[in-house]
Amino acid sequence: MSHPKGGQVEGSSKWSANGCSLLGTEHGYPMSERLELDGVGLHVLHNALANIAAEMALVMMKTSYSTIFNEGLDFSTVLLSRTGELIAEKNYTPSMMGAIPNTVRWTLEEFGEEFFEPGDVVVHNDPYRGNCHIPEHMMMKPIFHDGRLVAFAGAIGHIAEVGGKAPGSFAADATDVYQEGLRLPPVKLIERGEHNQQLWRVIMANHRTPRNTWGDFHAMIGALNVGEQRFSALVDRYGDDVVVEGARLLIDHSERRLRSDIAELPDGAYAASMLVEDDGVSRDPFEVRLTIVVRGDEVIADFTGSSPQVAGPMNCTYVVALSAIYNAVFCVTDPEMLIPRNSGCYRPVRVIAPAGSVVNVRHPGPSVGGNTDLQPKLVDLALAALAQAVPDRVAASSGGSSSNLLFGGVHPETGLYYSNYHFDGMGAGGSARADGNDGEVTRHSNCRNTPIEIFEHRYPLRTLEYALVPDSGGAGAHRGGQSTTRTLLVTAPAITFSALFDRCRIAPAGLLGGLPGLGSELLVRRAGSAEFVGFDEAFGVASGTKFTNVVLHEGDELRYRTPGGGGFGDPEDRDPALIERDIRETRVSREAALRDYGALATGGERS
Amino acid sequence: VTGAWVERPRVWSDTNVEHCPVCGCLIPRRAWRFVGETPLEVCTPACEELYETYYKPTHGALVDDHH
Repeated sequence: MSHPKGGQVEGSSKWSANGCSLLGTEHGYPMSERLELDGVGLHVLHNALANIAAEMALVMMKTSYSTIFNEGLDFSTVLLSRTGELIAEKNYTPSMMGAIPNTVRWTLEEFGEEFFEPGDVVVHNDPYRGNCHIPEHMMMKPIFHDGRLVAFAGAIGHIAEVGGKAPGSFAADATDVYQEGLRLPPVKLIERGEHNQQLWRVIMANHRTPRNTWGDFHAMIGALNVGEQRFSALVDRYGDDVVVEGARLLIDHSERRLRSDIAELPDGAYAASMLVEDDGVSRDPFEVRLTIVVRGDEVIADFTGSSPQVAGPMNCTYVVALSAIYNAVFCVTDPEMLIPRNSGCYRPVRVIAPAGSVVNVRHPGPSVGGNTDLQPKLVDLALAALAQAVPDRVAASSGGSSSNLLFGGVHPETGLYYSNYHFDGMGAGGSARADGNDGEVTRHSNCRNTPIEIFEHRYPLRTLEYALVPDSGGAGAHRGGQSTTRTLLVTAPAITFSALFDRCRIAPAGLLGGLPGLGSELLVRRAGSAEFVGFDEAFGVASGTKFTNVVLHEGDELRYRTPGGGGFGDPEDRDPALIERDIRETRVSREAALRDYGALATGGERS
Repeated sequence: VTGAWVERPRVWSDTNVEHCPVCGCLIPRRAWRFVGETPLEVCTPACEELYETYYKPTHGALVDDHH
């Protein structure tokens, strides 16, 4: 077997190759040019691939324009096989797990491998073709070696402004996808290394902040280029047959390990259901039903019986439901992330999400909030179902809302149009092991908040208050995490706001005797007014927490509170020392402690 | 599994999508066709197995409105 660079195979293994090192000598380390695909070699390969994905992520973070990328980290970078199987990731955002392999796989199926040429970059944000929602853009770049397609580099991220009826492209009252922004089926943004200028012009003309789009798209493209270069160096060094076969073995390894973990769960059918308070268009709640079947070494998650898709944007796409189930299954099987995350982890998990239901929206139904605000609740629902099987491995409901706040306008200092998609931390649910985390962005997104300094530097809003909310975590043996509150002062003549908050009227549930967390709230105080009131009262919008394009003026203040986490276990079982600590640290007021923990809060005896 | 792949040709200007009647996921171009009580076209061979071992025993036989 000859090596692509002309060297000869010297190792004893079928999958050994003697390649030309691009990495070894430049750093002065005596690095091997041969890779045996045994346990050690696979570990080396896994780390090499994972580091490529991590370097791609750094490129995105350091070169992007929008705070949602460089501060929020609302993106993931990946390497995939030539058939679209995930082989390595830097997954900042678990909500994208379902979309990442399927966007590539389904593009391959739709157009065939011959669609991809060297130097291409394909972009795709179609929620009906495997993406999470309209803002999420997946970019994929084929990696060729000696003229043969060997892999893909991928970058997926939330573009902060993609057009549609609301600045920030998050219309809480949208009734179809066309109000949500510019929809791109898989199309070539770069073709054989050259910008597809006609497509770029369409995109730039339809996004409100094209400069940000330009910067963020190029950050993604830069990440893909780095991924391509590093992966090519790896196959130059070890041989493409070794790397490709090694990646296949890693995927099989992960599948075996996850199946082994699933096999330890008790077989059975575990059902749970929940109501979601509204869809942004009507005030009617809708229902999600889920049965998780553990069958030997596989899991089937069946959403049959869930409500038909709703008019507003709380529907989610198929891959969002998929991500939520992966998330919950990984939480109960491999919370320490010891198994290499690749497509092998997805194989033992099947999801049934009827098309045309709230968990699998059909065209042209809207879905922007399904990703941010239904998905975390689907994770909670799956954990509530699995609590029947493994109560010691689950958590109560998280706040379950990304508390999406969108705003835009002309900046008074620059005269330039700006737009921002903002989210904030909420309370995580208490678990069998510990209290829930405070101020944590939803468990499906894993994003960071934006520092006040960055926020105020970029946008004409002053932060008057940013704090954890006392008494927001549900009481329990392990208390729910605290939510956050912010008060923002408008310092521009006008700013257009939209919001999609949830868990306002249906609070985050406790689990196994734990009490619910405190729901969310969104208020406004007009300049000169003494009181904060709901947006519905102030502006006559149908929902005070899901609305689009409300204009606030200089001196107005906006205040929100995100939802707190649900408590886990009976409050009677909480350690009195922890109750005292909570009171001392003002996490829990004395009044709430007396109400929820009774005698325990006063040092009394457990009844 | 008993089925076979069938193509669902479409013109390049058609951007509509179709869903698997069993699991709900996308069928981009080709479908896996097998004959249960009636012919069904699903996303993959694995979905035929899912239908026979889980879906039908749990929810009853499915009639694919694609036909």
